[in-house]
Amino acid sequence: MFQPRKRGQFFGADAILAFLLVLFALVAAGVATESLDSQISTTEITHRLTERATDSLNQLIRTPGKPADWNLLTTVDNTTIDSLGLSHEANLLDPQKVARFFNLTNSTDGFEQACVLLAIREPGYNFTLTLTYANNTVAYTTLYPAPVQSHIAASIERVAMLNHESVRARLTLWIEPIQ
Amino acid sequence: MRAQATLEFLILAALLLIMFLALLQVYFTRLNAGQDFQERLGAQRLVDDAGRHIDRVLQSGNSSRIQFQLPTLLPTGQAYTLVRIGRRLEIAWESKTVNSLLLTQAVSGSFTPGTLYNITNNNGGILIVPA
Repeated sequence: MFQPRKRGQFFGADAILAFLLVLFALVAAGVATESLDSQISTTEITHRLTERATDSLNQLIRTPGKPADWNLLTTVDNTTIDSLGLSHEANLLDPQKVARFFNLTNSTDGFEQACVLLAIREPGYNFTLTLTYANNTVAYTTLYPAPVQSHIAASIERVAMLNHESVRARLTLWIEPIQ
Repeated sequence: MRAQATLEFLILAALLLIMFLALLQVYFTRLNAGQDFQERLGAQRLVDDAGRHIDRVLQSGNSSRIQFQLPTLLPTGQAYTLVRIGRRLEIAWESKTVNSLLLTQAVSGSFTPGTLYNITNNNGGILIVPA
C-alpha cells in the first residue's frame, strides 16, 4: 500500500510566508508609530510657535516698551531694555520706534538682540516682521525673508496705525531646518 | 527526519526568541521615551502658561492684574521648582529642566508650587505676590 513520504520539516513555504507577514506587520507598525510621533512633535512645535508669535507681536504693537523712550538709547540690548514695544498706546505705532526697530534688526547683531528681547531666542528660531500699508506697499521688513514651505512656521497678523495710515503687521516665526 | 525537525525547531525558536527580545527592547525604549516626552510636555506647558500670564499682564498695561494658580505637582505627578533666571522661567524636576522665555526682565517675586498668585503690572514692571 502506498504511503506518503513523511518529512519532519518546519521551514515550509507556509512558515516562511507567515514569518515574513509577521515581520512586515511589525515593521509597518513601527513606521506608523514613528510617523505619529513626528506629527505630534510638529504639532506641538507649531503650537508653541503660534503662541510665541502672538505674544511677541502683541508686545510690539500694544506696548511702548520699558523704558518708554528706548528708541533714544544709543545701545539697544538686553542690558539697557527691559521690554521692547513700538506703540504710543495700543495699536498706534510710534514712527520713530518703528524706524529704530527696523534699523536695529537690519544688522545681524541687532537682529540677535531683537530675538532676545522678543523672547524668540530658542535654538533655531527665527522671525520676519513686515509692516504693509493697505495698498500692499511694504513699509518695513526685517533682515531675513519669510521661510519657504518646508519649514515649520507660524504667522500672526494684526492691524495697527502708522503715520495715520493703517498697516498690517505680520510676524512669522519659523524654525531653521537642521543641516 | 526527527533530528532535522528538532534542529529546525530549535532554529525557529531561537529566531522567534531573538525577535521577541528585540521587540521587547524596542517597546521599553519607546515606553521610556514616551514617558519622558509626556513629562517634558506637561512641564513645558506649565512653564509656558506661567510665562504667558506674565507676558499678558505686561501687554495689558499699567495696573492690570491676573491670578494664577500653580499646581502642587506636575501633570505626571513629580514635584518641581519654578524659578526666574533673567528673561526666562525655568522649571526643574528630578534632574530635568525646561524653559520659557519672557518678554521682560522687569519681574520681581518668586514661585512656590501649590500657591495662588497675583501677577500685577506696576508701570511696566511685573510683581508676583501670593494672593
